Amino acid sequence: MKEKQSIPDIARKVIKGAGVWLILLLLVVILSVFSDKFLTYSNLINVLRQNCVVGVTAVGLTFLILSGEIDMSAGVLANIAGCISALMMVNGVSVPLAIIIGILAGVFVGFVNGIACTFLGVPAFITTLGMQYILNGFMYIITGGYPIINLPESFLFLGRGYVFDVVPFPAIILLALTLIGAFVFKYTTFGRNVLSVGANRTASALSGINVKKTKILAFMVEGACCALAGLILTARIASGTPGSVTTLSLEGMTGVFVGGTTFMGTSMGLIGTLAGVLTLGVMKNGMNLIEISSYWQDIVLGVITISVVAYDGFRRIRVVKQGHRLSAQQEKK
Amino acid sequence: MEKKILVLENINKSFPGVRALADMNLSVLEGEVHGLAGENGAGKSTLMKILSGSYKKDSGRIVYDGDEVEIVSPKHAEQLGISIIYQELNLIPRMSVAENIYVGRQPLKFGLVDWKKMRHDAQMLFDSLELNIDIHADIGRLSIANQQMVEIAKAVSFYVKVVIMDEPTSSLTKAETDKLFNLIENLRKRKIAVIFITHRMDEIFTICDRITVMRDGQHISTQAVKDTNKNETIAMMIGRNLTQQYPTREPNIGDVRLSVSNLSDWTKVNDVSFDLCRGEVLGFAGLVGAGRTETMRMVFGADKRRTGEIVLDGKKLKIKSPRDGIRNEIGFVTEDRKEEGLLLSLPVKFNMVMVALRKIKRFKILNMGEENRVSDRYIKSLHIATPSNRQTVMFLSGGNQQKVVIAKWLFSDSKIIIMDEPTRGIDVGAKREIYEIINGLVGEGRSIIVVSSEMEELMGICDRIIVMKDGRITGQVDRENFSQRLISEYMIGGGAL
Repeated sequence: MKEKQSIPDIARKVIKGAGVWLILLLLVVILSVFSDKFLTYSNLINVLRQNCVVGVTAVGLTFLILSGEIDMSAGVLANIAGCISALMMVNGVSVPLAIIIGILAGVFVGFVNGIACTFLGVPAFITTLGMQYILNGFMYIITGGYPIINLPESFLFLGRGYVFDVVPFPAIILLALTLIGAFVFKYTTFGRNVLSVGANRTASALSGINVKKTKILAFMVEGACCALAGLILTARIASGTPGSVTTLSLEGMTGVFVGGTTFMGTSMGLIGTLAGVLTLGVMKNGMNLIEISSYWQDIVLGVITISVVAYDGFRRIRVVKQGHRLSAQQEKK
Repeated sequence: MEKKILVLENINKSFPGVRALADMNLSVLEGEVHGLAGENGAGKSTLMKILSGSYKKDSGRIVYDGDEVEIVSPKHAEQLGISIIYQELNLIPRMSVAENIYVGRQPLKFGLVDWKKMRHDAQMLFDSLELNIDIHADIGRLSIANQQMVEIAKAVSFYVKVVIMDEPTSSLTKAETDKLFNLIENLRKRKIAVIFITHRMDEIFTICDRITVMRDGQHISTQAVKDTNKNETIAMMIGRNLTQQYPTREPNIGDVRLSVSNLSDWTKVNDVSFDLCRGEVLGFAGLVGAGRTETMRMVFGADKRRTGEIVLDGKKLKIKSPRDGIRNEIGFVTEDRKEEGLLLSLPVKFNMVMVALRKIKRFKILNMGEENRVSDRYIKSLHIATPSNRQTVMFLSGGNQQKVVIAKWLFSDSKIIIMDEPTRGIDVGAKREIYEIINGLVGEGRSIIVVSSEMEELMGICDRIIVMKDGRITGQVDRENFSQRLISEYMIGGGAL
């Protein structure tokens, strides 16, 4: 089926494929005009560094949201994982081992969330809301409420390091995770099963997919990502501080939604999520530069989140109509 | 001459690919109980949905109580005085009976709900209908039968003139059915017309005054019950010669492959045993709720069986989940393809390979080239009309969607494919294509089980038909002895003919 395409057709296709990336580009252009500080190396690197933590969380959340679940405890999980690793390190555990234990803690919490959602049948929203309280409690018990400082220099590289003195190390992590994740979705059974389960769990079960296992695994992957995000943050601020992460769950999910992934199944996937997170980050940065108060920033972000998902709904309806037309034409042939 | 409360003239309604109603006529007299009979898919439900305002008719006239009306919504139908009692009840659990009756229109006193008056009114209503149901009771605790009575009482409280009952007795016991009939008698005295839809011939001949038979969306006949009999009615419901709708096939039946014995779940299925041979198309006939789908779900592993053995090629199978069924090369094309068969929001190729991802795997990694080749092959061999293998499944027509489901089971190498209502909701041309696919599959030596509510379809494509009723096998008919009479008799039970 090779038909000649007109130029507007091609343009439309590019826009559809690039989606959020184009919005990001547009935003960058606008901000460069409005603020002369925006398009500087130091500012851009700053935006990138600030958003790696949200980005890594969002990678994990993309897995979870595509499987049809949600996690309200992501932020606190990141926080407690950072605190656990920090505690280990100041008590003499080697840096690599402490990092591994921190991430395993995230995997474990994800596992518990997953079990509660699948085998106990508690909706994810409630499970993870409860988990948020539990983790918060534990975090203050193990730290006594005090920041854990004097972390080893080699650990701080995770959050502050630069590769070739140009690219922040966390950005490398984020990019690598995004690419690995995109690969998993496209080329592995697990990734495909996550998409299947999210699209229709009954049909998936009847097609021999182990729905519970898939969901639990998605929770575990997400837990690992959140923990890693927490470690990056801990390294960046050079302390394991209980209560330092407050809105990470929501920021992460907003990034995923803006990136075009919704509960309704298909998506731009992880490449979209990356764009979503960066778009939000650039927007925040821009609002700071043109001195909009942070209270107003929150309001703007909230409105954007709702609008994006609402727009997605409208677009879906249009796509559905278009698709029916296409199929009808095809059947007439 | 009695007054006609409701007259339908030349009602037409089409859905994409299907003409559900074709110049349908129906007239209902004041205070009569009017039976509506017809096979599944004859258009009864569509007609009733038009009457209750859920569907909009394409053309035709509805005359109600002497005036032509255009029923625009269920609310509007209710205001006119037409009420429909669905198989699934529309009551609000955890509210009392009285509250359910007056929900949304509670009697008020000083702007607050007047509970005393509400309960008084409800009690008066129930007394006048001779219903012995506690109006304070929580609706969720009542039996289905009593809930149904409450719903009918609620309709009466709206001063209805026509009550439509869609298969009201399908889940009732004999005693409960009698109670319902008492209530219907009471409605008759109040000059309320009842349109009574049922599969059970006995009931039509017990309670109805007149009976209308529908077939293929058309009016076939309307007669007084006393002028006709069950035989004649059944003949009119199904009577049509088998046409070229069914492609022919030379049966080539081999040894027994699948042997199911004493299968039970102790609720919907009791002691079911049957054999399935290589190259055989085995049909399962029965009314809705006869336990056919439940039986198949147990064979496939979707539901747990309490007792019973499943033997495939002489080997006893341990089937506890769909994964086990799939591992033993059993495929299951479910009744509800949208809810249970397809990932509607994902592409055609994704759906086709989802069961057998292992087959397109190379060193743990999925091979996209293989996925494209496989899906293009099935699109071609099953004649699936789709712009490409990337098309989202929700945009395909029903027939093409069904073919995608079948492709999924073919790619997973199923030797035995169970198809539950494989042609439901798809148009005539696509039906024939599905039958041809079935013929092709048994030609390759696979075995097919077809569960269908269309007796004609089963007789057209099967080598053998097993009939179930109330969770048990009541009969088995070989191809040379196929007759609608015989199968109906097994389906409906001894008293049918």
